[in-house]
Amino acid sequence: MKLIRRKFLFLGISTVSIGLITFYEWKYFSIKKIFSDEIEKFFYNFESILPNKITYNIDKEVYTLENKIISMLSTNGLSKTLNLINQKIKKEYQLGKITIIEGWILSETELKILILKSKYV
Amino acid sequence: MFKDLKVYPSNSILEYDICIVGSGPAGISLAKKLFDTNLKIAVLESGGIEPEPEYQELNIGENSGPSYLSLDSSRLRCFGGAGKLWAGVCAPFKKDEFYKKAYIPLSGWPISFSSLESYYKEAAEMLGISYEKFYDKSLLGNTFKEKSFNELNKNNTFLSPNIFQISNKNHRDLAEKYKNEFETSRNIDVIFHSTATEINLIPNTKSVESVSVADLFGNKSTIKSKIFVLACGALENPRILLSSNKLLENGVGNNYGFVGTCFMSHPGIKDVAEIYKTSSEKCITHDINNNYKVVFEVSSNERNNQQILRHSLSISPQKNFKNKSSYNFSEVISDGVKLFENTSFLKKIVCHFQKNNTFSPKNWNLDIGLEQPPRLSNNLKLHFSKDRLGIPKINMHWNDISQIEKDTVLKSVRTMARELGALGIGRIKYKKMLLSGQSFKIDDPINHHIGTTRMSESPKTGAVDKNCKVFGVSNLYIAGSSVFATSSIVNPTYTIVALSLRLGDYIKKSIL
Repeated sequence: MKLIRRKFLFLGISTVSIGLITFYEWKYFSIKKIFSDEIEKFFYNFESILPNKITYNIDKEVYTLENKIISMLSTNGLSKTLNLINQKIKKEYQLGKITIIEGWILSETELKILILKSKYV
Repeated sequence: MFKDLKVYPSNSILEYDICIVGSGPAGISLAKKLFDTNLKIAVLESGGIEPEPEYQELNIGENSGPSYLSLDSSRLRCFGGAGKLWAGVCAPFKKDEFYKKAYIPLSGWPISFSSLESYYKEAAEMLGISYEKFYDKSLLGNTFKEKSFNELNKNNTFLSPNIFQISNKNHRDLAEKYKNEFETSRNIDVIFHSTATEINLIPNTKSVESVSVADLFGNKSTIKSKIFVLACGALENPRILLSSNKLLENGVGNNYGFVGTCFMSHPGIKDVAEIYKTSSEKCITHDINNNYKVVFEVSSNERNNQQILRHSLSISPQKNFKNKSSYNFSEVISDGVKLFENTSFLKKIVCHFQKNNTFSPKNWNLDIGLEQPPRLSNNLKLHFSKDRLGIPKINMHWNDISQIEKDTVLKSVRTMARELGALGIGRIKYKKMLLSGQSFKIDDPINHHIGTTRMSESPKTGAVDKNCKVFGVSNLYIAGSSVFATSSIVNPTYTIVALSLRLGDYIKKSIL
């Protein structure tokens, strides 16, 4: 009786895990397949002003922005997303939400985008 | 009339109503204001009509501070003085510069902008420029630099443009412009080779009795007058006051030790940042004129919010190639490769040959000119060594850059970056030299000499009152940039002329 329960639990958990992993992997790859061109195009709009040799601390916020951009691209398309992100960058400059890296004075979002650009482009 | 000290018998006593020591822009403007009176006026000039090396040597002094200031360059002992070296760049002070600022000790003037405005208008006429043009917004946006960053004139939040006019060479050399009038004047004597060697006070020290003058050939005389005006620049004015110490140990008008203190200049910090223009390179058609230029700075409100000094943000296109007198072979090859790599090269060539066109690149340089705050530690004292006339030389203690100047550079670049970013027209990168502090170690004072007999409400904080009269001496006045309470960022000559005209009016009213 005990053995059957263990087997049942093991098989059940394994099945659910494999299912979840497969689902998210499929979702990730399908999103990447659908939007990879769009994402590249998106990042092409930001000029690479930072030198490549610099290593940046890629923190959680960068990934959050990445997911946000992907989500915006899927919802709004390239042009609108670019417009919204550029507005956000301009607003940050206006409000003084800026950061200095290698002498460059950049908005916080702009820096994250340039970091992400090196990943995609 | 033009005269020379040597024509008078030695030890002559010459009597006048007004004695003006110095014939630079201040002395000439003041004398010009008094042309139409019947007052008998002496204008004493240390040199001749043209500069002479042996008289120029009287300018030599010593430096004891951490920064070097050339005391003999940018000064001329001749009719017209330093005005003959002036490039003619004019702009008035801003209204808010006359106010006291809590974050700048000793800031504020005892006069307001409005008390100077009519004299700025009069000075503009003398210098062949237009006062109204300084505030004419229709002039904005037409120059090459503005067109390269044209949004800066339209939608800016943090930066404001300033119009600087250029007085042309027919007007800016006031000595040349009014030479005939002085030469033929019946009430004004310009006496050449008459260096003031001593201000002689009456025994109770409350007024000046005479000024002793001498040339380099042993001729000496005494000038007696009702009113005396020192107008020989921000280095010589305190020098003669401090060295006239027969009756007062600390010199004339120096009861509180303010004579010689608060020396200011306009340090220029080169290559502080590079600007990357986000719009594409293009050939720009623009007005070509040499009458005015537009310079940006952080606006007054933002400047006060950030507690920084006035400054000028001067942009210029980056040069692709180094400015060198000679190239070695590898440099020729390297620059040759760059030339062919550069896809805009052909565009540049085409643009170059089109009339009124200039090529606007993506990369620009940013230089900053700085106001200096009045500081007691930047001062001029007397050196133990003396010049050929027996006057103690100047001992200059100058420390050109303090923390507030450094903060001004860093914050103004940051603010410009915010403006360009908010408008979406560019990005800025601080240069390594600036971040490492190296940029601040370069001596480049632009040779403007300001302060040293500053105007103030009280003798406890300055050397002259709001009418440019030396505290404690009833008939001694000072004209020129030495009376400036603060240094601003604008070239001083225009304000020197305006203040001298104002002093001329005051003297007229008080003597006639």
